[in-house]
Amino acid sequence: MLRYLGKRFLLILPTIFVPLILVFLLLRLSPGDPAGMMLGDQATAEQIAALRSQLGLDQPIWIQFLLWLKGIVTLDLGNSIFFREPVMQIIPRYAGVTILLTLVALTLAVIIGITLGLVTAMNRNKPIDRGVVTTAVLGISLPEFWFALLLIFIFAVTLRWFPVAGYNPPSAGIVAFGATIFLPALALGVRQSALMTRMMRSSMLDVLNEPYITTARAQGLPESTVIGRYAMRTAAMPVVTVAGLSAGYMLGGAVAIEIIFALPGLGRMLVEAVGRRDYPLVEGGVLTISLVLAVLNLAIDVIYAILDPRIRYQ
Amino acid sequence: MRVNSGLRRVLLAGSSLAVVASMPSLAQEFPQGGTLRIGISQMAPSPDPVVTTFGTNWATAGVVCEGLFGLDETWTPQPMLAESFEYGEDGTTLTIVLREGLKFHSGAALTSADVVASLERFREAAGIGAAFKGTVDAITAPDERTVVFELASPSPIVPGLLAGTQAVIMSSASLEGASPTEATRGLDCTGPYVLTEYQPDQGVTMTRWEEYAARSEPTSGASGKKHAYANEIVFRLMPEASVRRDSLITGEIDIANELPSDFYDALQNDPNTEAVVVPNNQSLTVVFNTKEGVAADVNLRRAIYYALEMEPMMLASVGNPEFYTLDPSWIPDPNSFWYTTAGVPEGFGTPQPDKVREYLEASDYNGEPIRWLVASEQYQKHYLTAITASQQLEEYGITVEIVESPMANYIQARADATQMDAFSSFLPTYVDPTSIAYLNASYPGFWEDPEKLDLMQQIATTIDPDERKAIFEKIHTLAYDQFPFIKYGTEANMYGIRAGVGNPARVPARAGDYYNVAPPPQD
Repeated sequence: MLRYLGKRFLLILPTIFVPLILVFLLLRLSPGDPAGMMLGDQATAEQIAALRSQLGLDQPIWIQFLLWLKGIVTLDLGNSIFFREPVMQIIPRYAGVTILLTLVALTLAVIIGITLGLVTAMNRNKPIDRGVVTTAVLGISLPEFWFALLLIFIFAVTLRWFPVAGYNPPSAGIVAFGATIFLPALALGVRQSALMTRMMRSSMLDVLNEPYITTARAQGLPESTVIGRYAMRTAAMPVVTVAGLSAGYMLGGAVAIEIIFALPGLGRMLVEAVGRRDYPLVEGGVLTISLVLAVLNLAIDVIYAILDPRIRYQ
Repeated sequence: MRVNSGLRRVLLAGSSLAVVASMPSLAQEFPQGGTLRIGISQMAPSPDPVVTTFGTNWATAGVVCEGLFGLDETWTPQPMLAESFEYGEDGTTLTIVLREGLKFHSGAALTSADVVASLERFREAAGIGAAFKGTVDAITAPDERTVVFELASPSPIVPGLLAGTQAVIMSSASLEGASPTEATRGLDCTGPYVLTEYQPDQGVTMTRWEEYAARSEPTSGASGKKHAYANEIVFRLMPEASVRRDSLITGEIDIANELPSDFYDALQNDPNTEAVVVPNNQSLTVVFNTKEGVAADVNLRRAIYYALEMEPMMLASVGNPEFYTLDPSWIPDPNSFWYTTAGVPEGFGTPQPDKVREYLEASDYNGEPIRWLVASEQYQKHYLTAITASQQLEEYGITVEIVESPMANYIQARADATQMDAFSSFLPTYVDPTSIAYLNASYPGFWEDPEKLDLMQQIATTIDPDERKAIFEKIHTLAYDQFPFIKYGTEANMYGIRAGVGNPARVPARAGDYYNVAPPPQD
């Protein structure tokens, strides 16, 4: 197992570096530059050129690449061009919000997905099954931003249960934090919960037809034990896969939700950094997301091994 | 260069000018207290206004800081930190005496050394700073309360240049380590509010400064007495317009900035909110590349002007006829001294097919596409006007290739005369014609006509206001003959307020004067 983990860990390196190099090149080769965005729309061409020179953006691209590579190797991601502070200090401020949002959204999605999947599987072809499956298809089809605006209209504007937008960190208290994170997490998680519902339902239906479940029932075990102890553990395997993929999707795809709910998260920061052409910050953000995704995938593989003893990575 | 013999007579001491031009705007007083919460659409990584010319990023500094001058509601500079100002006999020196006993938020006394440090930095900044640098040769501080500006030539525009938000005065200690492109840490200024928290991508908190020394003159725009009604002013970043609207309706904020006109009915129909329409906010325009390429042909530009019907373009962009006017003046606010319609051909905004054909024949145009840049972030102002114009021009065989790109690309491409023929833009009211970006020959568009350059030199060095106005009317007339840029109309700005917000801004010159806005009564 340890040898396997070591191998997987080494494979993480290219997984991280390839997108980083691509991002470096794409940023430098695409039109637009930070100097123009810093000085604004009233700046003249001469003023922009002078700032480009001051920022070292007029150096040949290979020199910029070597300097960037040196920074990566020495774990110095440089300073943000706009914030004028180290990228290593900026990223955690934003990444924390996105990670919390993803965790809450994933939790909601897993709870909703497993519960509804279980209920529909146990009530196959009954009205509740058909109703939930239809709603799940609808949930998968809904764009997240639309669902977010719908949630705001219902729960913030009409019922006034939650604030429309804004963010309170956990240090402000669990109630204050929960009030600002619940709607964004629900908007982000509902699509994934629909996927998990369908996955859990079909997986559960398969497992319920397995001989060992029939045996368990024949032995007179209570239905709750059969389902809870034997069926669910096996049926949850594909849901873990989906949960892992969902976490990755949510980490990278929370941008729209962060913008709508005015959450200071990594996705929104990254979009604004790309718009401003803040090269070091974009590279730092991509590095963070790549790293988290790689670690997440590794974690999913480990969970596989724990859940299914048949899996042997040797 | 023209030197007016009556220089000193015309340029009165600052205090007397203040009395003449100030216009009180408050009909009633409001009690102090409460928090004024404002939903804003964007904010800069730093509150320092010197490092960027994006005006939307100056909001914090506009509340926290002050300059030597402030603009009143007629866009006339009035002394703010200055007690008085006086030009020398030959008009090449300007002496400003500072008000006595002024302090920065840090507690340090404001001295002329702070003014010199702040304005030396401003001189090297982009935008108005460059105009200031071209006008002022040196800034000296003969004593603690006196600042002397040595001018390159007699020029009346310095107070106007110093009235902008980029020319605010910060303590010299706070400027250590800062540069024209490197922001300060925080803002150590003299305004009625102290910057207590600035969280990029979240919001700003400003707390009333009890030691603020307000002027005694009546309030007018950013000049005169500042009331500081709210205990706290809070900016909350809400990039989505619908979220700002909803937050206003639910009472989470008191003011929702920059709302599209589509939200007008929703706010007016709610008894707790009001849609405030500020007319004459800014001109929607297209700027042509007069240096090279297909649009450098003046007859083609004339043909384009006479081919355009302005009403559909404004309607496409703004969406509601109540939110725009078909006003041809390059100064959109009629309250401004500089407002003029000089030289505007009869029938502004109505196509004149005969003239289109006449000018097209006189041009060298052979159907080449006009590369028209638009920024994707400005879909309504840039793209919708451009696409409507392109449809109209197509009827006359003038083809347009709309090049839509993110703002960063747009700014870079328009600065390169080889990459564009035209770009969509917009223009607010400026304090002085010499500050109008489009008239700067190095601004994208590159309008370097010799007659215009001569007129710009004249207006920069002529002292008498009426003579200057006459020169500006000549420039305006020239622009309506050569069409280096074309204006479609003037759009209003709409924002929302909660019922009970006191003294909200209803004229463009009051944009951002939250220190004079009272929060609604708190429960």
